[in-house]
Amino acid sequence: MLPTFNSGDIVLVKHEDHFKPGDIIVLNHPTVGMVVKRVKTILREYLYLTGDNKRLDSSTCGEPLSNSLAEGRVFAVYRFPFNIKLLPAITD
Amino acid sequence: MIFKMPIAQAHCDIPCKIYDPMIAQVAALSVARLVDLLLEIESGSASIESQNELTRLVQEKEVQARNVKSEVNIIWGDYFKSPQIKEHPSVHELVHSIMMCGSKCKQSVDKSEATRLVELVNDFADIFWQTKGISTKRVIAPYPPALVIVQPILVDA
Repeated sequence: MLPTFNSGDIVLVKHEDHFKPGDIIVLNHPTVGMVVKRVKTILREYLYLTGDNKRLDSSTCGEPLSNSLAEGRVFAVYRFPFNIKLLPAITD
Repeated sequence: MIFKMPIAQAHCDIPCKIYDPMIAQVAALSVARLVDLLLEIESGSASIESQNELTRLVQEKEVQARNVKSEVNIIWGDYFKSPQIKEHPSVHELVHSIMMCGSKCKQSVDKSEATRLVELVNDFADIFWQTKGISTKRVIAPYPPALVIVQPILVDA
């Protein structure tokens, strides 16, 4: 998820179950566990995720993942020692 | 530490979308070659040298058959997504056949099963390259057991 996140960043998550394309979410993937990715598209109750680092591919991207697996939307990121950045929700 | 924060992974698997069925193809060819070498061992030979060679060949056959299954699984599970599956709906059955044949190659010393494994992985490679819009050709591998392998026809550098 570079450049949005660095390894070790602390993300603050708001529990939600309705997302929009562009939202960054934390999702409990059935095989790889908790992942943080950006919502690419939404088809019915399925989310398709993507990473921000275009040089890399991921097994969690491009496959339909049930909306019910999502833990919530990332609304802020804290980076050691004094950097906090708000990530506003995507609006229509 | 008062509480433990859950960790969410953001890392990715493969740099620059590098997938290639050739790794599985080489492993399948290795299984076929190892079966040949096993069949060449004089049956009934109880020499310590012979037992040592037998053990090494069987052990390596296990490893290479597992490599075939693992590499095909990675491409099938990570690369093949809805568009590719829609285009090639037979891929699920093909991958299952490779898994079954890989197991048979581990369980037996059967040349026909090993040859079938190479062919199945060739079919998988053919489908993989089709999804990338790359034509393939069938050539004879330039090393024993000189079986046919599928190769992509790539652009000259």
